[in-house]
Amino acid sequence: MAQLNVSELDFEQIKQSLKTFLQGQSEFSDYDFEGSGLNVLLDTLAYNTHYNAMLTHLLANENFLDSAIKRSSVVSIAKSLGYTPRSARGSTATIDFSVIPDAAYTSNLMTLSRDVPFTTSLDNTSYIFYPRETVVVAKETRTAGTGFYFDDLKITEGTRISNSFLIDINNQSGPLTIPNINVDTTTIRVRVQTSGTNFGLNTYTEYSNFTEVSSSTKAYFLEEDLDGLYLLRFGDNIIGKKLDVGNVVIVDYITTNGNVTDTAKSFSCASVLTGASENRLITLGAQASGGQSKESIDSIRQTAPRFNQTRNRAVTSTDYQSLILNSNSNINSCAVWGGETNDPPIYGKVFISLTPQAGQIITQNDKDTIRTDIISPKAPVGILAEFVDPTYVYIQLIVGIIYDPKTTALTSGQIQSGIQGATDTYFSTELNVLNKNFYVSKLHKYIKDTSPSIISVNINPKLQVRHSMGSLGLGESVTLNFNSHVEPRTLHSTWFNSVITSGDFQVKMVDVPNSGVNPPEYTGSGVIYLNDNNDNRLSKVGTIDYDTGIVTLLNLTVSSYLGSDTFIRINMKPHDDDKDIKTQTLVRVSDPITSAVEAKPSKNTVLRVDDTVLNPVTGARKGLDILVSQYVEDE
Amino acid sequence: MAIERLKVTRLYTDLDLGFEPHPVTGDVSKKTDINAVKQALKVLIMTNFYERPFAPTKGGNIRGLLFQNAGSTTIAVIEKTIKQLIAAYEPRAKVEDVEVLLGENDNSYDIYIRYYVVGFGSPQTLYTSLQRLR
Repeated sequence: MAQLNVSELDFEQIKQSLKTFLQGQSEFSDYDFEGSGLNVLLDTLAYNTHYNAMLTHLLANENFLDSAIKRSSVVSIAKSLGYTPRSARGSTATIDFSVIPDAAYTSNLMTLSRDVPFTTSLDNTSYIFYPRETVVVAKETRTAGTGFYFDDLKITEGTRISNSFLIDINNQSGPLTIPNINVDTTTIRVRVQTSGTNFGLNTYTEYSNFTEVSSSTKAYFLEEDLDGLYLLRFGDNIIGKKLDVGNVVIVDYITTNGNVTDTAKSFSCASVLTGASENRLITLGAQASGGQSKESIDSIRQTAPRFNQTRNRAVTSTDYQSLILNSNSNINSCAVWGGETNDPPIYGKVFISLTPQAGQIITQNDKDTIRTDIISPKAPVGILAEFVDPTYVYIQLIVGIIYDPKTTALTSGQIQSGIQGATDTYFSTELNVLNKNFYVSKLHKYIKDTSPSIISVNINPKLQVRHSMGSLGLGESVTLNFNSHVEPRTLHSTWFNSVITSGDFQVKMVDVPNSGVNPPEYTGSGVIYLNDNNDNRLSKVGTIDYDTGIVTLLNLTVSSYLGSDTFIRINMKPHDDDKDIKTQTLVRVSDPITSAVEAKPSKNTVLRVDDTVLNPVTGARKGLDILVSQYVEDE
Repeated sequence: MAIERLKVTRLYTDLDLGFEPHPVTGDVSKKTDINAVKQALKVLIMTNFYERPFAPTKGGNIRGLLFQNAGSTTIAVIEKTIKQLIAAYEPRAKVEDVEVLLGENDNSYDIYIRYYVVGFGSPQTLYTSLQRLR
């Protein structure tokens, strides 16, 4: 008797397996003819087998995070990993809101309710923003007058909704389903009213860590259900306080339109807060940003295992990154490194560098919250977190293109704008965040892919660092880092006015190498001078290490900038061997014989494309210069 | 005296789709040789499109033709369809002729298929009558 092959999933293959099986017997011989009764029976058998096999296959797929397709399956598996998918997030703007009150309003305190709507309009559609919390401020006197000043007020887009749930014997621990799919769960407030007649309110707080919850903690736990709605669960008097029969749970929250209102800048408030003749003024702090739709299946698939790896603890650098990125949607990128890899090594510390989303700022408040609420409760005892500001190195690009006009209908202008777009795409998708390197070959590919008519691409990168003085007219010592091996006599800055012993001069910085800095290695250091516009050396202002790209300026005094600039741009050419720009600190080791240079990670460096516009007044050169020329046939 | 037993060799063996039990053994009955092919031809004629799983075009859609205007055109289509159907799916039958007659009194088609079964010498005739029930 033939063996029956049971590994097939496809209908035809299953049927063929059954036919092969029947070849091992002599009772029936007509299984191979389509009209035979046996063939009809085989169809039925194969269909049934196929049906069961597919069902089993799909069931098995839905059991694993990597292969599950249904959102409910992915969410359910993520739940077992302790991960709650991120809800939609409303765009949040920061405004300074002031109210000069009506004369009839005599109180020295004013409460701005979280229910006061602020309106904005985008594409002829009105959107409403609400304060995230109710804020109380005292009256104070400022230039605008005596009134109430709500500084750095965060307002979030959406509709504020309140739902009430009556607790009975069956739902004392929940679950209570929030009946809105686009709820921003960071705006949820849960209050429990004692009963329908006793209006006393207790506020319950979200917990994700059971170890912090006792039997009397007024805690709720959040999770996503099979329909994509969020559920609130309460305690059972063992882990968290159980609700009483007759309690009324009041849940209010914001449902949001996601990122639709990102970039909203202009807000108005029509509510009368103190009286008819009050004067309300809104000043924009930061435009709306951070709006997001609900976390996608792919994102859950990627994030849940990493979240599980951290086990809600901050131990490795990726733990820190995962926790910090989840905590604040204003953060665009995050780099974390241990003190042992720092330069110089500082043991017992973890260094964190953050870059904000476009249009956002990360305030000291945000950093304090991350330190105290996110990291400290989860980090090992004795490890201190320290924030390091990101440093930006701008890459100036001179791109030379030769294209064959016979093979394309594009004009040279269109090719030029295509290359501009490709460069922007490269920087926006692969750079502009912490700890990412610039590779000439990658940009080359992006550019080459814009048109098959491009025959040759020549990319010359240069570096630019920018420095804004703390205060004009005062001497300042500063260290700037190009993070690359650089070439002597290529440093030049934009023009600025500086106080030098004999008066105020328009100057720029240039470098002059010390003796012994020879081609092709150009190893060693040099001096930085301030030159006037006749190229006379007026003053020595610092030194430069060509191997590491570190510029040390001593007691530089800037009395004013030229044009509309508010900082000095300092350009330099990387060494010919170093066309790829890496986010590494190059450190000269202390060995005096070799004076070798070693690379250490400098994770707080962000590489950006130089967006400088040509400016004859300041001497600024164009950041991205694309030169397109046509191919001339070889002789 | 020695008894000579002749073993009957069956070319074709199929299940009887009537599923009548064998009167002696009680087992499922079989159709063999010419009868097996005849049963297969009937099954093919009665098979409509989309009946067989994962093979939507297998069949002749003869049932659908019963709802067309009764006349020479439909008769020609039925004849042609049956011929094509047998040629495509029943290699054991070599069709000589298909004749379709309109039974005007009871709104039916009488179908005569004259064919040879491969391996058997005598000509066969399959008669069936098709009539729409609603």
